[in-house]
Amino acid sequence: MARRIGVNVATTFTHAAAHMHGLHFAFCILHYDGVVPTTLTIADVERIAALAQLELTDEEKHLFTRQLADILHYAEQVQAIDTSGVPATAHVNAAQRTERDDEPRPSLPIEDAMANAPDSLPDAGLFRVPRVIGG
Amino acid sequence: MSVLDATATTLRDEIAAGRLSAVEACRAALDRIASVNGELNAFNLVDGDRALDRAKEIDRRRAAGESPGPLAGVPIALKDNMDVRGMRTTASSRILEHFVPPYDATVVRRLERAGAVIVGKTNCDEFAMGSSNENSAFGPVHNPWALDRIPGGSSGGSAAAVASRCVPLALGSDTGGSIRQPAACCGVVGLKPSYGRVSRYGLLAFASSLDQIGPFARTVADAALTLTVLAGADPCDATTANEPVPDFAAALTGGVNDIRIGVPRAFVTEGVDSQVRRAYDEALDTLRRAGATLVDIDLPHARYAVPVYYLVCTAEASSNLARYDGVKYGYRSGAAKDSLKEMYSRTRDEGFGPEVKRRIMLGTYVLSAGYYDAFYLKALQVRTLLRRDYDQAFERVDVVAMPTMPTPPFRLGEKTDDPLQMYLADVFTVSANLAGLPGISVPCGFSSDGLPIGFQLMGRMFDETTLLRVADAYQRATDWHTRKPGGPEGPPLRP
Repeated sequence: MARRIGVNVATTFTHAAAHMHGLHFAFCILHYDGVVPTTLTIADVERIAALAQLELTDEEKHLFTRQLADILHYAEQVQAIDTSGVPATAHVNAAQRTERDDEPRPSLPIEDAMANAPDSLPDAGLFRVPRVIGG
Repeated sequence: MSVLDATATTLRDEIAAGRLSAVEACRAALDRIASVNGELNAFNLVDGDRALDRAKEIDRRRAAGESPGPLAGVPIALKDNMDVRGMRTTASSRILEHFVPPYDATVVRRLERAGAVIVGKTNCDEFAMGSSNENSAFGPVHNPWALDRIPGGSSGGSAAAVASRCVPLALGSDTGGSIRQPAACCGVVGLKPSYGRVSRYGLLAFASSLDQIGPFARTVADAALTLTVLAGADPCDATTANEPVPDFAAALTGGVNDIRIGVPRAFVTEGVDSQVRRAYDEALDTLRRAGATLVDIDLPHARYAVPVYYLVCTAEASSNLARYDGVKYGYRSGAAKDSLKEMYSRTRDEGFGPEVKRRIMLGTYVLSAGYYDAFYLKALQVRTLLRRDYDQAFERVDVVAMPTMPTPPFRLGEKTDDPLQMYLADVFTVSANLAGLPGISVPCGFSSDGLPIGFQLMGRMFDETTLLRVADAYQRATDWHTRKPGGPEGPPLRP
């Protein structure tokens, strides 16, 4: 008998975030002291850029330091709202569960799926990338 | 008078009756695009050969006596963030400039099954992030009513294509107003369906809990016809709803005697341009005279919708856009050959434009340890409070009315240096996405400079039927939607 796959959409996005910060970019997790600053420094922007796998120019770093500080300062108004006991809405159709049997079905051929890769070995089913360790 | 002055419904009927061929309609659209796109920059790609082949097939099927379909022969344009197999999808980004999708979006399959003829892909803000179309890697779209004005964003090309009579229908995507706001700027109808109404399979993800595909048209009846084709559950998108899909166009009775319209007066005050305010009040008065009842409502958390939206959408975007890393598809930087990590960061820095980077940075920040609770989780809690405001309002009213945008379309370049000011243009549209509600913008007048102004209605979750009925009744009582840029002759766009 086929196993059932459950998709609980309510948790999809926190998992997606965890994927980015916990797994895919696991090597650069940072820890802050939990105090929300009213200003943002260039060093903060450099740390965020490293988390997001973005290599910014000096000009971008200065621009984003000012602009992100403005936006965060504006967004701080939500922190004044009393939300004690209020559940989070990550998704509006969270009650909906979609399940299907875990059965193989026709899907995209490997050569089609790899056709857009910048550097690949489709016959072997491999994407080629620069050195992963060191460097 | 061109065939492109006809609505999609009329065009479909003319083609079905054999008074016009699908090929003639397709050629008219391609000719019109060729004559105005140099000024508008509304299209990233036009595939005339493919479109004419499809149109010939529609004519062949009709001649053979086969059922031609509810959109048979109607030319349609798609925002360039939806996949058509073999046709480039760029999301107006350098990082996907040469990406050729290997499959069709569900909306594409449904449109083509209904006989619609896809003519090309429209320009938009990069990855649908923007309110003015100025974030496109391929240059901004120009507003057909005044070429120095924004067409709105992010689906600006789709709105401009419909307003300039290139096509009677176009699809956009709406994450925080990206269908309704450009519809308002360009003087056309834009519909964002309820979250889960239309499959997102084959739509490039920006913020997955907010994104929704919907139509642009010149009439509410055409938008209703298109929604009937697009809507419905899809096994390829687990967030689509198992809701019945009625014939939305059949429900447009014109009557609004039983309708109660919620008016959030305290919210529609500060920062609203006086001409927008006047047009809004007149639209409400028109519906009252048509038989609807106006009811004052309070949405106490609506003023927090913009900060909540920019915390939620950037968090989701930072996660969704992690996939663009130069490995599986898209651009790869040639500068970094020695390490994977450097290849990632160089690729993303060279491939993404400034607004996309800004949002990835903001989203990464609000999801990072120490800030997650204070920003992201807090925003999700306020999102619940906002939904409750609407739940309470919809106990007393059938639809909620607001302006679509606080000002008429502003000048290109006017707000590009100040992202926060740009974000505030979304004040009336982001609530519908956060709460999952359907919303529609219909033309409701013009500023003293002749710039279009939009009137927005929002409905109960999955009650597009009532929403469309009220919007259609408004169009029956007014003629704003019959005006066209450039005066009665249409082209040329420049006076």
